Amino acid sequence: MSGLLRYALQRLALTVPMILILLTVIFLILRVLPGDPVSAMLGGRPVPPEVLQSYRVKMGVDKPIPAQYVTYIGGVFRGDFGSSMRTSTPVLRELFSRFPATIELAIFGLLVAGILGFSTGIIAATRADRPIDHGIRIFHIASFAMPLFWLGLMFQVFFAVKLGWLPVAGRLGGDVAFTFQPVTGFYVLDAIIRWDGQSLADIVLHLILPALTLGIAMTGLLGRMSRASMLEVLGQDYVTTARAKGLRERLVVTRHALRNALIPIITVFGLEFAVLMGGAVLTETVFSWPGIASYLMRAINARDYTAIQGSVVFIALFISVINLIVDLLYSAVDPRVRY
Amino acid sequence: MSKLLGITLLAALTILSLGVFAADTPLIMGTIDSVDELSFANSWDFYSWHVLQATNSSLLQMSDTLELEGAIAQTWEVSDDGTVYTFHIRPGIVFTDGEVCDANAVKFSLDRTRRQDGPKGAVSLIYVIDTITVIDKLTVQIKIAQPDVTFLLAMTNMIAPSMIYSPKSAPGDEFDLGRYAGCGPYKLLEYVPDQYVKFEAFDKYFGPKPKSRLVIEKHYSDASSLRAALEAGDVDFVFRTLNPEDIKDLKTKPNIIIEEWPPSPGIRYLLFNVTNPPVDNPFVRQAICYAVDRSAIISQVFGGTVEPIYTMVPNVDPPFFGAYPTFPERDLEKAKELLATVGYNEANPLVLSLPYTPTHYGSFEADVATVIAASLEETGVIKVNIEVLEWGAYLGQMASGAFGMYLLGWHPDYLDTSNFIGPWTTDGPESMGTYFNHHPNYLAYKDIMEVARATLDTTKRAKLYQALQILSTQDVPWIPLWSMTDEMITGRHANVHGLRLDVRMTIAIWNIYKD
Repeated sequence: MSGLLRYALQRLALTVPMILILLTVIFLILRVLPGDPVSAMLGGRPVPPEVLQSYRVKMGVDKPIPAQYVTYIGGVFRGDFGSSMRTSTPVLRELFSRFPATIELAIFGLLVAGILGFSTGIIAATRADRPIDHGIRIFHIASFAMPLFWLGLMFQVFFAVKLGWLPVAGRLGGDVAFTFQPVTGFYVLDAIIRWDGQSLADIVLHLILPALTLGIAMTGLLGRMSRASMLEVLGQDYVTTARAKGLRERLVVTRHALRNALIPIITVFGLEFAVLMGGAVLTETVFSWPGIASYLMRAINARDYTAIQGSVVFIALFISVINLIVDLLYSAVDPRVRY
Repeated sequence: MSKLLGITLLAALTILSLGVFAADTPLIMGTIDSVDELSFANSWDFYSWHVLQATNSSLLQMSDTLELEGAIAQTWEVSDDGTVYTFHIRPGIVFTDGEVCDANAVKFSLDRTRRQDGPKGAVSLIYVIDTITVIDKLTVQIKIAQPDVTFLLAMTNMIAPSMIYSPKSAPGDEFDLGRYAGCGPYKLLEYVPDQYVKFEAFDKYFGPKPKSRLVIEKHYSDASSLRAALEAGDVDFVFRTLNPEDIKDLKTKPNIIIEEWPPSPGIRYLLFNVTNPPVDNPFVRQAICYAVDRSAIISQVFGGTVEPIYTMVPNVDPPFFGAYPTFPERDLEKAKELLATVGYNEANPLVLSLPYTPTHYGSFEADVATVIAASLEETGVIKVNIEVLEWGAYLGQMASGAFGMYLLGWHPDYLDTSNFIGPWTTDGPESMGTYFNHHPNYLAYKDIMEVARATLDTTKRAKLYQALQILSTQDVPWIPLWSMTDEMITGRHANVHGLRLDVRMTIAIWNIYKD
């Protein structure tokens, strides 16, 4: 077994206790919080107490908490996350149907963050302490500090309402919704597969504002990290040697400094995915984006136990896998890292 | 020659495609509502029922003049004792899956829905049904357990459990979750959670042809996005629910038409758990009733978009009989006087808690609680502690009897006065948090409601409901505060026509079209 494979399997095995701990914590928090899931499900309607109790029995929430826990954990390990109390549909099915929306937004958000953060960070580092560096640093701080929901709302007002260039929210326009035929749930990909130019244009237009909002929010940290990392690398002896050899500055940066500066940036990029999932809750809410985060928000508001537990586990698993991929990427970037 | 033919063909195709496109341009509605579950036996929320109404029919329906009229049933008869209803079904009705809608389909649907009786559903509204018998292909007889004047209203499409659907498409004994074939004006093309619901006109609908062939209802996560979507032209019209501030602002926009459709069937109440001190004392509740300032709530929180209400039922006659503005206007001196009789004064103030839930009723609930607290504290004798609880926790605490004074709202399931009073009195006072079934006068209310439900004479029934309301101004287990007219507001572009709302609160999308 190769070292890389062994390392990947070890990391995956570590995910199991992590998920178990997370599940236990979420399970207990939901049970400890005041409120009754059956009353929440009934939405405050007039129901005699005996009927209320019969629903508790049907849903198994009348049992002692340890018994509920064993039933739930058993279900999760069998791949059964239960059915949503709010919509009666299997949680896993809902999550899989919404997963492409969240991933599509995340990819484009990361793309925005990557392009903006990385490029501005490198530009700032190579022009350290010059006006452009100061300007970029202000931009990084501003993008980091700006509340995401506020930024999203401002984008909506400016680009959608005032200028009328982009749609306000959602994934599809009203007209296109009648003609577009999704295949995978990743709408951009689906429109390309279908060779459907009209839908592709509409889908991309709908993606711009949420991706920009999510991306800009992540740009600050990524940009600052890129700048710091690049500055450190540019101060290394081997860079000085490269310059002394008479290499052009562009080559020094791109051939010698960049790859070494990437290592901490990739770490941040991996961590940013967790931040991104948090940001997605706000972005998906502001832009009515039908992803996992908005599903989680609705579940929390409705005290939908099964949906909350399922969403949290799903998101945790997803972040674990992303972090594993990031760790594995190290070896591709840094030859010193071997598994 | 061939070039000319090609150009002509291309031009013809272009014109044809433009024509098809224009005819098929969908009507787009925006809303912040969402579907909970598209099931007849397991849903009880406004928007799920709206989708079911657009795609299904019932034996009866309410006309635009708010009178009962036939839908699937052409005519009907009631036995002298008021317990046997015979419905004669309109011939030639088909479902969207091609099946014929006959007496067997009616029996199948109602029996299946009653059998399923989901925990989130409203099947209790048709519990009164005892047996359903197919007399012949187009005649069905329903026997009810006891006389009930509201039964025919419960057979309208205002109530999901009364809807009739095709036996061929209904999924066994599972809930439908959108898998059904109805015979309403539209067929459901697609429902994507939190994105949209798509409808296409049902060509074989037995009623008037819908004005728009394609309709899409887009779901927005909040009122700000909804307003922006209307302004940006992403949607043709919006229904439920714009922010009061946005409504004021949108009224100034030349390209947007904001329309108000009072009265609203939705009412907000201040309620009391009559078993919890200090609000177990009727003098305390009466004092609060005199002290609460409805006009402050309306002007300071809602900018005048809602209306005060002093009756338990909307003052619309018909369809409601017995609306009676019995609750008093504000009188701070009277409130202080009442509190003094039970020993509360500035040195010994009455301390109350007022829980509210921050999102379920919109983003202004905190302001509502603050204004109510301030109006009560104006007496100088009351101190109010405001508490916030998320909806799930709020409902749990409410049903467990933990609240004393609290806020809640109600929308009727069908247009009858009993549906405004029943929930607080006889139907489930404990789950609604009032614990009114422990009140000494509870049996009197129960008796009045039972007699009223069995009284065919409208005038007599109205008197009974009025008597009950007069009694409730003495006991004050509830205080009606405002009518939710802010929900009865629509916004549209000038090219959208046929948009209308009435006290049914049904948005008849089949009547709406755009130029």
